[in-house]
Amino acid sequence: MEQLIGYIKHFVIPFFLIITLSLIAILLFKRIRYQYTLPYRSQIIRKSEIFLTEITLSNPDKNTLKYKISKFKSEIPIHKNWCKDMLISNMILMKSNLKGKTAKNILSIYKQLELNHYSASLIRDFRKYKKCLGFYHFQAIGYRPGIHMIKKYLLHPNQIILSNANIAFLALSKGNWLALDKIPVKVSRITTIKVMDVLHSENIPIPKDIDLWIHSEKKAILKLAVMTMVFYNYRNKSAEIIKLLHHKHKALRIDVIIAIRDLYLNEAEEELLSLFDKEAIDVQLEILETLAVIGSEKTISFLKNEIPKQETKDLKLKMVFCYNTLDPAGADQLGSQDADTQKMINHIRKIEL
Amino acid sequence: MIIDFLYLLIHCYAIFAGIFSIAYILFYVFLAILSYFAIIKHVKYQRYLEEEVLLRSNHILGVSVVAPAFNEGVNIVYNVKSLLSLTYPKYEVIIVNDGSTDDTLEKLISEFDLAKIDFYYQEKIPTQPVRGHYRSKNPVYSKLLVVDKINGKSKADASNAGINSSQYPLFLCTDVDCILKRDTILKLAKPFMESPRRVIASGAGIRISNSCDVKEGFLLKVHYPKEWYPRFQELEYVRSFLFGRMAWSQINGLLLVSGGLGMFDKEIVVNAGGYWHQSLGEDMELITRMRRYMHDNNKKFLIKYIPESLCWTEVPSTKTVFLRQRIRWARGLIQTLYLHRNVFESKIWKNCIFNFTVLFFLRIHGSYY
Repeated sequence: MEQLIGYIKHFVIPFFLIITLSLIAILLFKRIRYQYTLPYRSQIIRKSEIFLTEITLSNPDKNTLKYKISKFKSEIPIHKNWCKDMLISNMILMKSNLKGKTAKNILSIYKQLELNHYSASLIRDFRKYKKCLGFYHFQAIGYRPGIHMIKKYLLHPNQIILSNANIAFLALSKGNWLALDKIPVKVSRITTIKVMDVLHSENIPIPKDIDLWIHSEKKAILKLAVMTMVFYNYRNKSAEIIKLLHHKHKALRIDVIIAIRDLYLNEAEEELLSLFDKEAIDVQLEILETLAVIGSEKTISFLKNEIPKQETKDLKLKMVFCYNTLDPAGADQLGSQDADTQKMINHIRKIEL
Repeated sequence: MIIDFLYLLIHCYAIFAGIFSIAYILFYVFLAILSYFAIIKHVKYQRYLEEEVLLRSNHILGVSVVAPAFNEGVNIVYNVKSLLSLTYPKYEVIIVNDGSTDDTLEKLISEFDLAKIDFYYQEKIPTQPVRGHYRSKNPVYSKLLVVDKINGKSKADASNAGINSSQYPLFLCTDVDCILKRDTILKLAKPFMESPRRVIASGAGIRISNSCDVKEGFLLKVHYPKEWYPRFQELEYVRSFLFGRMAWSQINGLLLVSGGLGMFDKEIVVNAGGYWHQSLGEDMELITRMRRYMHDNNKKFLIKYIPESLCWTEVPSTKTVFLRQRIRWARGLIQTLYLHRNVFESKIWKNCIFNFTVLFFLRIHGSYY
């Protein structure tokens, strides 16, 4: 025991003490340095913001632009990474708020300041988040020559790099779905959100082979196909979309039901009604939401029979919502026969004052 | 004889204190390493999706912000305005008036132009009776829903009534007097959307607002607390969130998402039975039960923590209130550990057994977990 205590006294405690004191010293040093350089950084940030606003909005000729940029470069520490990051962030922010030729000025300033080299170096970096940052710079600034660098990562084994590279490629190539076959089996909600955002912000034309996508055996491609068709309001393949209501994956079936709703595919009504009893509650809720949009007399008579029998409250509430949307007078009649249904009708009608 | 015995007792205590301290330090070194990797991972993942993209999207998950209020008449209007100003495209604010005896409800009705509505209330989680639901006639406040209920003598009961009244698949539980950062919902909802595995809860750092500049429910400037008790608690909170919870999050062993700020998957919470209103530490008890539900149903899941301060709250500034709070927490911990004691017998809990052991031996004295 004495030996153990001696060991702790002479080795363990001094070791932790040295580590702790070293960490405190590093933290203090970093904090002091940060505070010391803060006014300088703020001054540079202000100067950059003024410069970027002036030069972007004034639309100068080539020579003036060149002169002004070289003068600006001599006034700021452009060799520092924090400065490059700050400039690019400001440019991205400005570009998102501008349109047309003025927005294009940002790209030429980006090139003149040679920040494209910095973004490229980020893509070459071994750290995956740096690569993603580089992709984002090219995508957000709209630097199309960067496509060849991004292309290498379209089939990358890392899911994050693969996803971000594909999105950046899609945006810069204005709709080239080169790596579509290689997309992962599962498409997360985030991927969907990113693809839809690119389609929207880059005004990408509808893919030429969209008709082939809908015949794919891959769930991920089918999901993208359905969502892209909804985005472009493309109804040429409605029969194929409806067929997907029988797909083995529940998540895809839900996407298809939502697509039917968004595309107003009235011809799917019967199919939806026939599937209703076979589906799980979450799918049934989506079906009812869709039937509220595309439903006709068939749906009304189906609901008329189902509502009094339904014991699952969530489902009954959605049925009443659907019925009330399609036939308010019929809903009133049904409500007069059952107090619970009447409460649901009141809830639906008065929830939005 | 007695002196010998006392000497032996002191010697034994010294050995115990030595071993305890070494275990404590080593354990925190281990947590620090885990936290480091968790924080690095978070920083890297931030580039997976730019937040502006989420804000522009129609495909994001909706969130209900549930905030119980009991006798909050003094600040309720400012607090609700603060919650209504959060940045997220699809959310609602549910204020649960838990049978306040002051003018909380009256103030809400007059300030937000509320009117009673026919709300089809489904008591998925049993609560004290709900007297009514109110919505604003002013479209500016269309996100607001006020639930008026009989006092259930616990925050848990009020939160459950809010959950029952919510319409979105996720809900954020907070205290009405907490000040949230504008992008809180966005940051907490992001893990639910980006993870391939089902995320059932997420949380983030809470900081102390005692000396901060607050005007009409909005945080103007953050200051380090001036008083000693809040100062120590500030350090304790930072240690707890950055060292403790981030580390547990890294190995998916989190047993607590703070009651002051936590986002949950409503379906799982309802299936697990909601908050237990008799619990002294309802937040920890709920997470433990949610974990149990997921394990029992063989469902894979994650509980995520974000290394960012998103919420500011007042903490006790006097010894009496501080001790009362810590005793309640310690009792809550013992109660939860006792209630879920079979964790030590079952193999399915994996990483939680370690967490439970640590809680039992190192945190039972009531410090912030």
